[in-house]
Amino acid sequence: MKQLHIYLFFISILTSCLSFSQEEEKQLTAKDTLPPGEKYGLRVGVDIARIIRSSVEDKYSGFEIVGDYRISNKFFVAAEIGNESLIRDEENINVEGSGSYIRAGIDYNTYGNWYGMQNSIYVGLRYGYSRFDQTLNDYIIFTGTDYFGENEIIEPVTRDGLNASWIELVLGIKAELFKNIYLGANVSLRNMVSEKKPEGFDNLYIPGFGRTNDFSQIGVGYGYNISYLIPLYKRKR
Amino acid sequence: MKIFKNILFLIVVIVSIVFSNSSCERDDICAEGTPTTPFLIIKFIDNETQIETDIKRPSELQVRAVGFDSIIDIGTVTDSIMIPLRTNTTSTAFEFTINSDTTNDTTPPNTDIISFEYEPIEEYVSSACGFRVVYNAITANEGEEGDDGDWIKGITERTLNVTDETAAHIFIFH
Repeated sequence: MKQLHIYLFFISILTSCLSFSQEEEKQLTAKDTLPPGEKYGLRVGVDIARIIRSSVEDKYSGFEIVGDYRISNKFFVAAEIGNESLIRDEENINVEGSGSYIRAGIDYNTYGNWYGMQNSIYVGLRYGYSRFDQTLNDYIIFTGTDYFGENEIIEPVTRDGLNASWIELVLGIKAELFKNIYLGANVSLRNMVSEKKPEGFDNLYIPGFGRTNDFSQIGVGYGYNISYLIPLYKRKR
Repeated sequence: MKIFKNILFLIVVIVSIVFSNSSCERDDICAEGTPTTPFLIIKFIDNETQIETDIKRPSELQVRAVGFDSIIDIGTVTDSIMIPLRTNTTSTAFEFTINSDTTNDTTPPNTDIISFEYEPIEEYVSSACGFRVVYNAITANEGEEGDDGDWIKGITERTLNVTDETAAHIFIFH
């Protein structure tokens, strides 16, 4: 359901942009006559999916700043920093993971743009590091019988000073909607490299990495961001 | 026209991401076979021979925890039974009743009380199963002989700690 909400949200943004496009057309066609040049600069923005999710979902709060800097025709240095927390309310256990993270790496644009366009379909590589704490809010002793009733222990325990690191493969797109304003979407596949687990239980949610899995080191994530390009100079292709 | 092309570009790529991202894995249900809180396994041995392999099936056995109304479902007893222990106390007492069925025969029921004492230790299992308890340093103590006499002649602990369900933890001789 969460995914669906995000998609719906994104589609609604697209449709509202479509209605704008009618008015913008004339201005933008005029700009196509600019001398050929690719814009280079620093692009900074925020993750809108995390802002929306924070406001609609009680168990989640998060904020992420994204940025990239173009270093050549195809390559960008990219990084995201953020802070998030999520309560995983499972059937037998309730754990909250909360903390800050940074992901840094490179993006490679695989998309050959039409003349004058600045879009990208990119693949990226990141190294992620997170510092966080886990709070065990309550849990149930799993017995396989209800003869004695449920033994639920509600005694919140917080373990802090935990950390994790991972490598990440990113697939994403960025499109210039208005001059220097970009809308982007991406999906990530993450593989845990190191993880400091809390004493007595486990990390169920790692900020920046996402939900952990009982049986694997793999995590997945997504992001939708809006960013502004601070153009520094232009260079021919 | 440029912005229209850009939006078209976004739509095409997003649609392809949506379709490739729709599979998901269920890991929120505690899978059967996961080692969680073990049941106590009790095996019934013939007291006359006292040989481990000499199984003597208790007839019409019923087990009930002291202070609880319902009878524990132990299925059809062949050589051993599995019963749960309380996870939030350090002892659980049970009433073991043989010849419990009084409708068709003349053998009177006979109830013996056994109390198990242990140290419950909580262990994390997984996000799906939560925690389990293992029982350390288990001891079995027979309660005082009632008016109906003892049908249980002896009890031995076969393991120090109850951590799994691979073998009998307790032998009852009768």
